[in-house]
Amino acid sequence: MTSRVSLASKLYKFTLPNILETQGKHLPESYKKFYKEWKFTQPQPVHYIPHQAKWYRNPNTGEVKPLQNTPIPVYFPPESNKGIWGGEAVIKGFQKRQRLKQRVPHFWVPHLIQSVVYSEILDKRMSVTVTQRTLDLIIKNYGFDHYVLKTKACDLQSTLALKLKKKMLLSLLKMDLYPEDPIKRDEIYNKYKHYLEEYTEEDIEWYGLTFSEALIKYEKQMDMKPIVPLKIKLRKEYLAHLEEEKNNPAQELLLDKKEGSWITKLNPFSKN
Amino acid sequence: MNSVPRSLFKINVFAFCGNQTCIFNYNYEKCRPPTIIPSRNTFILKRKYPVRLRPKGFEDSRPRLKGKDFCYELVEDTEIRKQEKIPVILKEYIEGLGVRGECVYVKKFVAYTKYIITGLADYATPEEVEEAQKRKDLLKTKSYSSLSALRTIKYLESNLLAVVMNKDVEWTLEPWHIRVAFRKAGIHVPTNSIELPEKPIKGPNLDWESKYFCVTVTINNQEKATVRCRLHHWSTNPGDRLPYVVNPWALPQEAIFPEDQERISRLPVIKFKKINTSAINT
Repeated sequence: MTSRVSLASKLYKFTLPNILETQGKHLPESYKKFYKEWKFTQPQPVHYIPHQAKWYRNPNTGEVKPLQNTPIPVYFPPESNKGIWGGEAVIKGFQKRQRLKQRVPHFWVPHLIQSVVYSEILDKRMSVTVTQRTLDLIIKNYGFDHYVLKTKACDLQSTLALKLKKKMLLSLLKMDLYPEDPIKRDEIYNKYKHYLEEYTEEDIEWYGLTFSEALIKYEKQMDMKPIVPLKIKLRKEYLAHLEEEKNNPAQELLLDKKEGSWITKLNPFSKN
Repeated sequence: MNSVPRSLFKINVFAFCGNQTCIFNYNYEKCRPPTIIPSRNTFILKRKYPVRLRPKGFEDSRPRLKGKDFCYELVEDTEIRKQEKIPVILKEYIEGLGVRGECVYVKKFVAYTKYIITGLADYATPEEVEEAQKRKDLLKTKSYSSLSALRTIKYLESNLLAVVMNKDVEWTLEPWHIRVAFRKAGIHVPTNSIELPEKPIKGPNLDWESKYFCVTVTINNQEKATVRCRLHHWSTNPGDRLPYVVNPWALPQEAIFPEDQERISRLPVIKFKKINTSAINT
């Protein structure tokens, strides 16, 4: 239910042009899909507890007030791309420590640990900076591969995790895991193959790229294709048409005769 | 975001934590004093002052936040939560924990760092936990009384017990004599679990000096271990004592009762220090 006032006020407001409509206008649809999932989707609440109800009744006065969820703005420093923080980020804000004192700026920073994750698909142990929440999520999903493949890009956030996800999807698609052990390969492939259903081959190719990387990739693809002038195509079509005419001239002549003179068409007294 | 005072963006943040140092230095203004953050955890926060409600029809629009809306209070620090125990399925025998294929409960991060990452164990889904329980029930009929029972048998059987008796006073060997001999060797055995050979051993008898006999020890009223013992005679008077023998345990194994000879030879070889064997027989 939207009121008329709100609709009317929206008339005069233009939404800000988004990066996919300006710079990334020519990028393929599969990259745009990924970018929307990564940057324009609201991630799962990590640092706050969202309201479940829409309304709240004050128990003392009986007054009913609406509740709205306003996520706490978080900041992902460049270092977060080198680790897997599990959705945690830096929060900058204030603390009101005493009632009669001025508020003090404060930064809430996640506790980072250097730990190891094991990917079954890539068959590798990797030393990465993680948080306790990441380890919690890995244990909850019964493995690092399940966690990475199941989680949306907006919740993974870091480029490292997204690159790993792309690598896993690619190796599942190409079936190049465990090259020496065909039995194990089938076992692992059957375990994770249902994650491939969401993506097409092109989707995986464009997955996990940063915006600048995608632009470079697009440019390279364009360079690979030689630019063919339109005249070559048109000339080919015209030649084919001429050849057709040459092969069966009888039909052409008949058609011409049937049409007759153009003056007959212009007769103003005809009823048709 | 726009309404946050500009000064907040200009702060150099130096964050120190334990042995790892992570520095966020944006070089906006070098003259500003650094803000030092004492601890770093997973925080769940709450706004101190409620945000102004968005009008009807604009509920999904971007919230316009003021400086006041960035004032937060701590609700919970998740790092202080008690560590839960999670089930893991062992891939191989781990001492003091369990056998292969068993489902055991270990603290979360210990399980992850110590067993799962090293490849000693695997994650357990609820179905796998049930399956492991069924397997364990099947195996229960064959199992030992405790985890260390088998190890104890192995340890006892590979040892040689020296039973030192009096050379001057008459005696008959009793279980408590064996208990004392065990205690001298650093093993505590209750008297009722010691079983002597059927024929009585009486002394002093110098023919039996440094000869073998067998004793049976019962562990947890279930498993039985055979321990070989060697009889020695001892006198309180230093003049009456038998001559000193170098490395008596390396002498040939000779049983007091000939029927025990085969039983002794079947026991595992005793682990001795490497010695010069040429010096023994001379």
